[in-house]
Amino acid sequence: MECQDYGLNRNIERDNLNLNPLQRGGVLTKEARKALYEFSDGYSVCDYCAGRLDEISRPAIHHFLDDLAEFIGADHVRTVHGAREGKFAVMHALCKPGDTIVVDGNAHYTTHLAAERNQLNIAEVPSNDYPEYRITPESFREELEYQEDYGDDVSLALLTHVDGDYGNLTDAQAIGKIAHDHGVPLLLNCAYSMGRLPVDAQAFNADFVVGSGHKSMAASGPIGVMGLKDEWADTVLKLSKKHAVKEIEMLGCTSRGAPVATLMASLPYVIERVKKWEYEVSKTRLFVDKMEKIGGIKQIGVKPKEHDLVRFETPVFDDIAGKHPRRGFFLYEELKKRKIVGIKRGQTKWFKCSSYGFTQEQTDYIANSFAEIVEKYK
Amino acid sequence: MDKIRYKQAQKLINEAGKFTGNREVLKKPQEGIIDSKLFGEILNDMMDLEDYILESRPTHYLKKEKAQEFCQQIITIRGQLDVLLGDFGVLEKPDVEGEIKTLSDKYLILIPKSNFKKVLTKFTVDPQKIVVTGVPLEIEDMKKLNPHLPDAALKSIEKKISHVKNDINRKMGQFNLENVLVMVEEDDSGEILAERARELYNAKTVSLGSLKDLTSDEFLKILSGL
Ligand SMILES: Cc1ncc(COP(=O)(O)O)c(C=O)c1O
Repeated sequence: MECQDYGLNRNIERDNLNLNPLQRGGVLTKEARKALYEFSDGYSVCDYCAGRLDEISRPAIHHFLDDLAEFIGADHVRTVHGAREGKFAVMHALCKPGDTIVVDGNAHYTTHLAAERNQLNIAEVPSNDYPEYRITPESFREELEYQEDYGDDVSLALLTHVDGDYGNLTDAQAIGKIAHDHGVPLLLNCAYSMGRLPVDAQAFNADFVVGSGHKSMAASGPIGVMGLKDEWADTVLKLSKKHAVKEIEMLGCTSRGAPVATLMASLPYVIERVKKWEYEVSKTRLFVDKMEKIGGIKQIGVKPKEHDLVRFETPVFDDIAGKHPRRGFFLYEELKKRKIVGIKRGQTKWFKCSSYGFTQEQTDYIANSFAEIVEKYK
Repeated sequence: MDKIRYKQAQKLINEAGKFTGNREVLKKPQEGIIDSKLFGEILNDMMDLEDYILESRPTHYLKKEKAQEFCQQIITIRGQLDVLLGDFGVLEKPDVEGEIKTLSDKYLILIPKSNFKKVLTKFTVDPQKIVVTGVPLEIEDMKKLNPHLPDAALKSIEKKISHVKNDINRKMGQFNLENVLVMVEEDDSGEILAERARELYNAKTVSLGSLKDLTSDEFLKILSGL
């Protein structure tokens, strides 16, 4: 059998400025690139394993997990395959099929799937209306109270710390407190925050936090982080009866080899970059300013921005598309000419983007390119 | 100080360009052993360079100083690749010590400390062509470095200075030398010594972060760049 050409090359990130928010936080550090090469073989971290991934001392995964726990303010940490697997594991350990969980209205689809796979019912906390789509502590309280009065027992509350649609940052601390006041543990989904901005599970009143290595922690992945309070360790990190050292929810071992090695290699850098979060936010605000000044472009979601993920409504590009021979493809093609990618082909009504990790010069170049395109077709 | 180093780097790059361009003859590979440690180092060094690619998006244009840094790293990698090839007889291994001996022969080398003399002689520099100064070359320079020295101490330093200068003159005559090279560390006393040697002997100057950490390859590069 002759295999087909799988086209395994990717120069996108090297040659272009990639605006897709999904791509911005997972770019490897040079230390991680080296670790990727060093640990590229299958079970490369398992040479000195005595049965537990989290206790391996060479490479020092045990020390890495201690550092990671300190970094995110959790008592225990495990790496998992992604934020979604972390959410699934917590739900699976805490809830029974048919249970109800309260989830914010901006939750990621993976939250819904994790609940569905666990056969849980979702009670949704609505966001406020267009154009903010803000999740407020008040609406969380109302939903929990509603469930108390008319609904079922709530096994878990899940809050998306920063959502992937609008890049809205929620008030985790206040919502965590409300959940606790109602006797409900809080799982905070930090896929878009851990590794970008400071996350402190303890300060946020979160019983569980999950993060995404490949999304926001400069790791090659698939890898996620699950942090928990000590009081939940027996439930979530329960050991197998048949294989005494193995943790059931982790199916024994989770992410091995290159994913964990790259996350480890990047951690010192990630710890430092989080300290520069304010700079990223101010760069984003400046970018939004420049984009809105073009005219016919409006930032959706909470204003001013508190996160690098920006959603724009762009009637100006939609109008051009209506008259352009290439229709909706014109924007993608004009950007591509300027070596900017990450906006979906054919999309002109709205798009999401991020300049996280780009220099000010690169970010200005992006805003100027959008302005140039509008100017060209005015 | 930075300017001096910048110029040095520029010179090194020019020289390195000439060096291989003129002499490189590739021979048929013979049997040999892969230096796997060096191989890993080369890959790692190459991976470091990717940062220049990401930071220079989308044009990949590098301003002069970044270009210098980028090229310097590539030159280092190129040197490492030559060593790998050298292990299979494809490139002749450079005779570093022989070249140091030849290139250093026309210099009287002034250095501030005696521990560096051992390093240089290990690189095959003729010990007779090295003068360890130990003190500045003028008494005013000593006063600049230490304004509170008592008169008695200054007197003995003055004597030492005249001794060093006699030594320099004697050796230049004895070995028929016209060129002085002063090698110092990047600190106040180093700068002052270098400055004065330039003035008194029209000396060429090299300043480094640490003299005793200098490798023979680096020293050869310095000599070839002078
Ligand atoms: C808010 C949010 N949560 C979770 C995820 C999924 O993360 P992972 O791929 O690590 O499961 C995403 C990815 O887009 C996200 O935006």
